[in-house]
Amino acid sequence: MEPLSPLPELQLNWSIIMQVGLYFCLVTFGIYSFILYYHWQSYSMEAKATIVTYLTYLGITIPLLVTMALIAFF
Amino acid sequence: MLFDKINLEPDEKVIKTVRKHWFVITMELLAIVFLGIMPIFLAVAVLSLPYTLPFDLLTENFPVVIFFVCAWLFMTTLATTTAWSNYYLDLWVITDRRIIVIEQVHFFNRKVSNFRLERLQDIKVTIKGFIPTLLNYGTIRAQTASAAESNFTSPALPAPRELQALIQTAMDDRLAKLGDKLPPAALD
Repeated sequence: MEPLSPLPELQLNWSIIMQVGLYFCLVTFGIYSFILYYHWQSYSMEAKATIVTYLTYLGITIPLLVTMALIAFF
Repeated sequence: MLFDKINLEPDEKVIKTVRKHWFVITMELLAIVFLGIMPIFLAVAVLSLPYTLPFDLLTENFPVVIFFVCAWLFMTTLATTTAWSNYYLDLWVITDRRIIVIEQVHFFNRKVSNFRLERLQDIKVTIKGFIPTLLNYGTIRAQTASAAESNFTSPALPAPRELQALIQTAMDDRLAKLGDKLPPAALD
């Protein structure tokens, strides 16, 4: 019977953790944005309020995601 | 847009649309903003510890800290947008024929109920508590001539007494307009 070989060491560094975190946030962003768009397009009563909501949402989330991407990849 | 989905009847006029009181959404948003700035408090708490290790850990991994702060802010932004959407898409539409109650509980739970004015029997207003009295918001409970489950309750509506008077006037106008064409249930 062959002796058991030691398990390979798991090399997890911050860069990989951040990249995985970024992909998770990007997927969440995509799904959430679709749901948000559908609801506001279907149920809003004022076009102005809808646009302000979209702009505020994108104006906050996109810079955050870009910052996260810059940190994760560079 | 919403009115395309509601399918207003021909010549049906919207008298008023009402959302929950601004205090409700303000408190929700404040709670989320407080959660959003939690990392700042956390960082201050960690740095004030009488050890040098946490400080080194934070400064050496500063980009990592910024990344997780951004991720946290991203999540709180989604929470804020959800709270705002639930507030804004939740409303009452009072027309000259009916009351349409749209309840946006969350993104995947939306209830739309119609109550014809001629079937309304009683409208009760409850303003309970110090802040609701001060800011003039409360619960409206309406009873219809239909089955008990068709009664409806909406909390935190602004100026509920004025709303009650408005519905009462619309109801009287509707009854006067219908005259002897009233459905039997409305005469109970």
